[in-house]
Amino acid sequence: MTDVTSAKPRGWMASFIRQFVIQGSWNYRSMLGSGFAFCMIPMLRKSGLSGDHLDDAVRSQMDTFNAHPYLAGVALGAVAQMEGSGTDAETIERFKRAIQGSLGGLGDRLIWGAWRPATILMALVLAWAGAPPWVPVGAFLIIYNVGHLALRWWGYSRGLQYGRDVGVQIRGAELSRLAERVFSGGALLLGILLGAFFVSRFAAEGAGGLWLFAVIAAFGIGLKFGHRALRGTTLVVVLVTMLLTALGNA
Amino acid sequence: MSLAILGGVLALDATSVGQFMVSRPFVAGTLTGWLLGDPALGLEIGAIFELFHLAGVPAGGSRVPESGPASVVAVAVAMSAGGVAGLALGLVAGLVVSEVGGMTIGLQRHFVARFFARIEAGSITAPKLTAVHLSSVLLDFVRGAGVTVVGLVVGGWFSGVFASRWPLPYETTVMLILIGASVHVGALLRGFGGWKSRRAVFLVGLLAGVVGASL
Repeated sequence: MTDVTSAKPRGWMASFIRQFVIQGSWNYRSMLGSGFAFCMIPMLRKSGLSGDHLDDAVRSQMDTFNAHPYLAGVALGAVAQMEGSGTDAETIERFKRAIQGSLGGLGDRLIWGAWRPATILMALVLAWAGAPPWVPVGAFLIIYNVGHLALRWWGYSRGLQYGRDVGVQIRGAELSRLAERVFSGGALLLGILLGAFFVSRFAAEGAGGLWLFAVIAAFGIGLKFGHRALRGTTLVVVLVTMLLTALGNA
Repeated sequence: MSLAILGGVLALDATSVGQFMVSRPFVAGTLTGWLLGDPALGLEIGAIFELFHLAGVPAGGSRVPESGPASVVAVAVAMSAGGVAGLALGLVAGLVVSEVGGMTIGLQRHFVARFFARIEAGSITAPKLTAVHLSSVLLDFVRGAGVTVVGLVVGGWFSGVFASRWPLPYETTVMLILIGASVHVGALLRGFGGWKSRRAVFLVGLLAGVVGASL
């Protein structure tokens, strides 16, 4: 049976604000665990805990935990609700272990993989169209962060509302389908940017066919090998530039 | 000084505080350009630098290049060298600093882990956790500012010595940069689902871009 509550625990807003620094002490030992415990402190304190009891409660939240930072609030809200309803520590720990993978994978896909590059591409198209500098920068920061803040708020409030059953809500929200739509929008914007680039660099300025072939080949390498090609590309760009500089006009 | 502070703030934005994406290269580049008196050039350098970071995904705590302080260095070096040499050397300085910045983030995370291991053995309390957490945020700021300062000093020296040696004209330089950026852009399309899944919408966009730019 779904355990739903509309009553928010005291200190929930302070905990929400702390989420903006949840990654402040990200480390290879507990990952987001210490940040998670840091965010829980206001709600634990407002629940009446103090002294050794508060410290024990904080320690119990410090185990290894990792998730996308924008969606960590889902777990934070759910754990707060579970703490308030008297759920035992072992169940809470199991819940955190169970949900972290989904929150990480979903956030990486939706935000880092789709929303961020798509909104950046939109800004780059605006910049390419000749908009003054503050227009693409301002448009990106506003549009990106509307989505960012909405996701943080939505996830946290769902966690507070549904507790351990929040996973069902997350699945029901079909964020993966939303990511697919953003992927398509991103691909469209990428095409627009490259098309405009093509016209200005190759058609208007009459750059040679060899250059065009090289650009298409490089694009194909990226398409084929994905992230595996990125660090190598950086290395090649740096080495070629250094070589040209070394061989250049003294 | 203002560039070092900007570098520290951008380092914070990337991971520790907010993640509002002020640290994205084209935003950071514009801010740096604004501080140095030419936001339009900052945007131009930042946008090119952005193409080299667009496909990166910091999944699961993996080490990725740090773009914020590197963008400050890229734009500052490009502006100090000037012209086409500035474009090339600024980009290279930025790429090197972004890799070095990524490495320092890894070191910081190891350091914080060891710090936690030490105090957890002595039983952590809420005030101690708060102190360590906020100290880590401060450390990240100092690290970002430090990376920026070192990048500016080394990059400034580098561009001062080598800017006059840059042998290629503007168009050739831009084409070489575009070839490097194209690998990243291809990787981005792969990240969007790959050629098979997105080719229709990508080609529609490509056509729209060609038509739009031709008008």
